[in-house]
Amino acid sequence: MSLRSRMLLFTSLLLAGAVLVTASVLTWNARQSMLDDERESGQILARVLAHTSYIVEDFPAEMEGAIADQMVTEATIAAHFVAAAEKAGWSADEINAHLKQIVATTTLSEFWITDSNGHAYLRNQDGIDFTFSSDAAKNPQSAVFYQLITGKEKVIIQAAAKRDYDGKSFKYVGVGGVDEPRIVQVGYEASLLDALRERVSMDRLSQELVAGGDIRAIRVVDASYKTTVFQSAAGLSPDISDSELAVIKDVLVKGQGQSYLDGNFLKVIEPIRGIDANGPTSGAVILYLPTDRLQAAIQRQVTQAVAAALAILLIGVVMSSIMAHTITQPLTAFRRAAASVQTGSYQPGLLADVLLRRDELGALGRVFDQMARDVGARDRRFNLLRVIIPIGVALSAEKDFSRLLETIVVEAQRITNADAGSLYLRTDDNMLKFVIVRNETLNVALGGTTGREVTLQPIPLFDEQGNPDNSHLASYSALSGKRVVLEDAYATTEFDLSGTRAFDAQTGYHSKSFLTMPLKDASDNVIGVLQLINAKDPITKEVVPFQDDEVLDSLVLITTAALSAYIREETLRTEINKLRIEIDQSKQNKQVDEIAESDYFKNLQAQAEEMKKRRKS
Amino acid sequence: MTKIISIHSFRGGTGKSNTTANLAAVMAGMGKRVGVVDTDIQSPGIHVILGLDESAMKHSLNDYLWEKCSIEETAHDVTANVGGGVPGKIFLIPSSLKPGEITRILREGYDPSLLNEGFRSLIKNLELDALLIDTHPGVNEETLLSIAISDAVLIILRPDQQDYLGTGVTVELARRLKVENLFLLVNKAPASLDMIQLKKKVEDAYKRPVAGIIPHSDEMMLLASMGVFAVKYPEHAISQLYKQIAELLLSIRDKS
Repeated sequence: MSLRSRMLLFTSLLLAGAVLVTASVLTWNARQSMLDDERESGQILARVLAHTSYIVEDFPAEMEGAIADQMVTEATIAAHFVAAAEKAGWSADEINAHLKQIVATTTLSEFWITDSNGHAYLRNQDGIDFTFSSDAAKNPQSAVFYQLITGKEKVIIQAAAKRDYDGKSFKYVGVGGVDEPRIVQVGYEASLLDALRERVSMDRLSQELVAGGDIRAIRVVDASYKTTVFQSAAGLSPDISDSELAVIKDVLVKGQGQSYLDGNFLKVIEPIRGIDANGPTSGAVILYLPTDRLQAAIQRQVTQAVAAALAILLIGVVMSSIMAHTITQPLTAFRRAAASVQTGSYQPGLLADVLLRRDELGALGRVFDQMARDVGARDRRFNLLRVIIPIGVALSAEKDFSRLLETIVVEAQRITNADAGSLYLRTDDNMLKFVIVRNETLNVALGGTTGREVTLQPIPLFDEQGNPDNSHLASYSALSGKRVVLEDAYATTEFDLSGTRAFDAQTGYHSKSFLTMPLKDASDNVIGVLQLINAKDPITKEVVPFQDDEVLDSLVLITTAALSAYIREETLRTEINKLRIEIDQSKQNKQVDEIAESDYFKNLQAQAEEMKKRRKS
Repeated sequence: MTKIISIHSFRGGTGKSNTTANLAAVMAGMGKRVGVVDTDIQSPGIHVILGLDESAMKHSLNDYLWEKCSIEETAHDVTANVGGGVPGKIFLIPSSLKPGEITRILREGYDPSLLNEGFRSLIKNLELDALLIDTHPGVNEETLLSIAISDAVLIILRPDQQDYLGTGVTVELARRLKVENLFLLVNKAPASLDMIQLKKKVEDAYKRPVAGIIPHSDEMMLLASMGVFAVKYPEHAISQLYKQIAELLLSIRDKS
């Protein structure tokens, strides 16, 4: 796996992991926090309910007690009133009129005042003639009051109850007579108490709370773990599960509220105590709080966290991809540059982008660039020593002109990694004559020691009018003394490359990059032209433009020196030959004698003088 | 007094015909009436340089030697062909270009004395100041005759060993034929040679004066045999050299 992929994977995994861990912690904390909130609210509510349950149990009784006390007073006052009225000789009707008036203007509802036989002759009700009896079977509800006549009881307070005969809820209180044994009974219609009982009850309260929706169920148990109240939304069993019972027992024993998660519920259990907060427990309130909202909230949070994680992951992947790219791109450049250093053809252009960077990679690039240049310079010096000087030495001693010419092209091709090369020599009649043509791809080698003549037409340096002909690359180079570098010969319009095109068309070759350089002797006279074609990248083998090359320059310099020395030597040898006039006298005499001894010559010798004289006469 | 001047070289290709044509042209330029005889019967060529078309050739030297016509009838005025509006005249006596006639004269031969008579007649009837004889390379009878009857002989050589040997033979034969005015002309000398040293070497070797050394000239090579160089490039150094040689040849003193 590439460095870039590894970096990308590593960064992404790290990011995703971090996001997920953070999200998990946050979610867990949120869940706990929500649970705690819920529990706290539940506990408060449960405590309130526990306390309320205690109050709800006692309040109506206390209320009834207070009413009873009032009724005893009223009955006692009524007993004294009757005694006084009797003594004053009021008739029963007169007394009853007063009693009716009292009932009409007070909260009292009924008066039942008997004689010593239990006959209730004084009363506010006209229609009912009632006589108390001690027989409980006969008067199950009122029989108890008979004890007031017997003197067994002085005051009797009866709990509010529904009357057998009309079903109305009444409370009755009775006292004994003041003047004689009698029953003085007052009645109070207890509908208020009923309403109070109705309203202030755990059942009612629980029902309302459950109906509110925040609480799924409320259970109240007594000290013997018996369920006294159970209000729930549909679908819950009123039975106490074993685990719930165990917790309830624990709560009642320790007197400390508890809560726990059970399935879809958070169950909050609080003990019921009296007014004394440290008093004994008398039961427990159990709240069933739903956790679905909590779960929904957690679900929402988890969804949000995952979405955030994915978004961060995506951004992270993109960012790390960009970062990886910005890091790995220079690394790729470094790899290529290093490879080019290895092959001895370092091209500073490979690191151009890196060198502009201001970061550590840029600094590294600059150090690398300097190092590569140093290595290149050292290589070139080494090449000069190892390659050029031996070639120069060999060439200076080379007696074979063909080999000399060939070596120039072969070595120049080797140094520049050129696929093809040609060497032209300038002739006395101002032509550039092909002397060497080599092409590795086409496996062509003409001239030199190959024994195969170059048949290509020479290139004239001057046209028929004697004007310089700069149209060809080689002739321009020879005439101007300048080197020409073409990146793509087919893209240039400056020179006539019809010869090259014809060659390419004929052979299927593609001549692209060119380096054309004049060969100058010590007097700066151009004696020939070296042309190299299609420099190849040592690694990719692609055709690349020719670069400036000190080694090539040195080679050309030294080979041209050898070449011009050779030519000079040859010229000198020819000149010496021309200047030396060696006449083989014997040979000459022999030829002269052959002619001179002929009759014709002898005759001519004799007549010549005569002929001249005759002409001039 | 009319000067008969033979121009000779031991080997072909020395530029003999070219030199003859140029000397004729510069002499005509001096107002002289010049006759040019192409005695190179085997391989005639000077007519090309002097611009005489084969179709315009009425009679040739061959016709005269076979006594088909007079020598004067073979003389063609080529002054206008040479161009340059020279004040003098140039008459060319060409050799036949017809292969049949060339082989016939080589096979049957001719009377060399006729040639001498013809020269006399030409000089007299055309009122010539100079008669230039473009000889056949090497040494044959008419060449030897031409040399023998000439007032001056100009031997053209290139600076190479074969020409050196051949020239020695001609010089020796000319000496025996009592040619008094014999000059050497070194032609096509490579420009790189030391001309002064070359001149001295040649004069030392043959004990004869060197009339001039003409360096190898690209312009001259280009012009080849298409015209007369000294007319086309009168200011050129080589044209000046031809003029000096012409003056030298015309100024030789008559012994008698």
